[in-house]
Amino acid sequence: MLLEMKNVNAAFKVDGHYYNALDDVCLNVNEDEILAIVGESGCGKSTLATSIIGLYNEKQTKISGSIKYRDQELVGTSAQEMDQIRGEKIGMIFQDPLAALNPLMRVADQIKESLTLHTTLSEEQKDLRVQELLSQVGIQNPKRVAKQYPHELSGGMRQRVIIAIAIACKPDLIIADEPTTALDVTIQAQILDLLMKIQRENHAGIILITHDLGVVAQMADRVAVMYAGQVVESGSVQQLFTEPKHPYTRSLLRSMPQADKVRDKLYVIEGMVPSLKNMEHSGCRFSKRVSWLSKLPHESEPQMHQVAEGHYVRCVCWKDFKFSQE
Amino acid sequence: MEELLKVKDLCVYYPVRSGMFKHVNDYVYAVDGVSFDIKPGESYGVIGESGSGKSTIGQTLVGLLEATSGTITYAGKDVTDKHVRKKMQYNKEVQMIFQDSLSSLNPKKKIIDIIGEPLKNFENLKGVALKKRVVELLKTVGLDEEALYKYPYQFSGGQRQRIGVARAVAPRPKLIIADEPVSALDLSVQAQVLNYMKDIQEKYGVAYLFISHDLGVVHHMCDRLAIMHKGRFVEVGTRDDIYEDPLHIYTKRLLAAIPQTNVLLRKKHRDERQRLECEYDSLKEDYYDKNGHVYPLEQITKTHAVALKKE
Ligand SMILES: Nc1ncnc2c1ncn2[C@@H]1O[C@H](COP(=O)(O)OP(=O)(O)OP(=O)(O)O)[C@@H](O)[C@H]1O
Ligand SMILES: Nc1ncnc2c1ncn2[C@@H]1O[C@H](COP(=O)(O)OP(=O)(O)OP(=O)(O)O)[C@@H](O)[C@H]1O
Ligand SMILES: [Mg+2]
Ligand SMILES: [Mg+2]
Repeated sequence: MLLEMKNVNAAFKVDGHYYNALDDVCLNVNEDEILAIVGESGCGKSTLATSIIGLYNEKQTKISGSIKYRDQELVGTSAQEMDQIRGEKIGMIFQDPLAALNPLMRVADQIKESLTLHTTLSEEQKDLRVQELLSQVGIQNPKRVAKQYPHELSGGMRQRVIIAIAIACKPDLIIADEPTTALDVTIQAQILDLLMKIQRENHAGIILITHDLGVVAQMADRVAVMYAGQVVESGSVQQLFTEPKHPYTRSLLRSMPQADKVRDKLYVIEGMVPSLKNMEHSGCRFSKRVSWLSKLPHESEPQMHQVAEGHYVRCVCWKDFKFSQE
Repeated sequence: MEELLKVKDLCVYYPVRSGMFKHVNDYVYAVDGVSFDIKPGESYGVIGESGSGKSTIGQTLVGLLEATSGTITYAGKDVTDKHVRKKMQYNKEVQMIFQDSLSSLNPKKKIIDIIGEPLKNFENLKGVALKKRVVELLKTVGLDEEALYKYPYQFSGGQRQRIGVARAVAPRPKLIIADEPVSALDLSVQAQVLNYMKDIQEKYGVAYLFISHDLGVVHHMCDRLAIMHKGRFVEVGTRDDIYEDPLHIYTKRLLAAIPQTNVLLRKKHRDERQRLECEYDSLKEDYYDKNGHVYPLEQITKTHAVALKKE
């Protein structure tokens, strides 16, 4: 196994108190596998990513539980050691592409930074590797682009450069947080193809964070659905799309506008994910969002239950859950 | 039906300045000969990749940019000249919803003043009457009276976007230009905003010009639409014309790139997309002239037109 997360909790300090943004998260990622994480804004997807790579403010954040990369425990690893692992073994593609690139540095120098940190290549070898990486991510004119600054590139090209940096040292785990949200569909498709190609070539595992269910259906091998800091359902991509169980998964699938169906009104999940301070840490968390769902039988401390080989659902409420029209 | 808005051969060029004296030495042909019309109460979609010129059309229609050439006719009157618009109801009747709600709502103003401003300006409402209308408007987008005295930053992205919708609806417009109104929102919030926009259309009969790069959203909202590429329309038609019977290679490629939720067909879908991607590269010469420009539109049926090379 490439990555094994067991009972991971992450808490942020807000107004002097710690509040959990992740609650007992257990997830695995294997080699050659794409695990998608989905959920609405504020469910804790990015927190999951930053907990793995150790990029959080230590004075404001508490992480507990176990995160093992191969056999190495990452929780509690020193910042120095994490710097070594990040980039070399775990590559990260951030949610905000503009923040991820240094506007004052040429593209080539930004890629070389990582090579300098993690390899013993000579200057010449590094230049070659930069060209190679830029071609690998599908940039037509690597020589020219290497000399350019980020603002001189289009959004799609910038995202390719970010991917080039993330894969520069051939990490075997790549965490991609909303890698294509800011891009239009044709460029999105190219970037996703590129990620898959890299994954195959390097036998890497990918954690793909997104709220686009179409992207998940096209890319993922397995899916974990998160709500309010918990995983509420996980399984193979086929299980999740053809036999979704948890009311939250089914509601998400329902609220999506589709290019092949005309519907008058879209399904709406009323309200929103509670903020950390307002989040209740007991009971079935999603039931507060749907008036009739709260009347169904729930577990008081909802657990994950296996419903099929590799398919897990939290709580028991899914058994009686029906949309009002059904 | 009489058209509400008629745009003919619209061109909008941005000057590119360079050199020591900042001389204009080139132009970006952002919108390069675009024609369409919108009927009262309908939703017209404009889709295209980033940089195709969609926002430029929207901003020209609300007067944030000036047309380089072409004409804009509103309710039968030529309104291409900004000064004409002031004399009629145009600036009241044509409103805009922006993609980025945080930067388009004045951060120093309370919600009652943000939504109330057009009511004061155009309808001379004051005091209790004004407050009553603002509360009504907030209700149509699912927000409570509580919101009246808060500031924009105190709301979530989806709530702010709904406030943007309420503000645009306030002066009872006949046309709302919505530039990527839900692109920054996640699925569940997006569904809320789109539903409110549909409610408002049914209630007040407003027309929408709906600008987006999300083909699912446009399919859901619009009866007629145009596919835009490099400043021109490559294909226009009804929802069925475009989604069921696309004829231009660019439209086909765009449709094939939409991620489908059918997991069982994903291999087939990917192969089809990659096939079209190759076809697009190899057939470019048949669909674009030697300078890479889109051809003029040819009418195929009464509703469907495509930019094809003349044989
Ligand atoms: N540094 C922080 N300090 C305090 N609270 C935080 C911090 N970072 C995130 N949070 C809170 O933790 C929760 C989870 O945030 P997170 O960024 O992980 O969500 P997300 O699922 O990635 O959402 P999005 O889809 O909007 O990116 C939210 O309620 C957020 O406000
Ligand atoms: N102020 C400006 N000066 C010069 N060029 C501009 C300016 N604003 C836009 N452009 C250019 O005009 C073209 C059309 O831009 P526009 O913003 O209309 O595209 P869009 O279709 O709305 O794209 P997006 O989907 O990214 O919003 C682009 O090539 C853009 O770079
Ligand atoms: Mg996030
Ligand atoms: Mg735009």
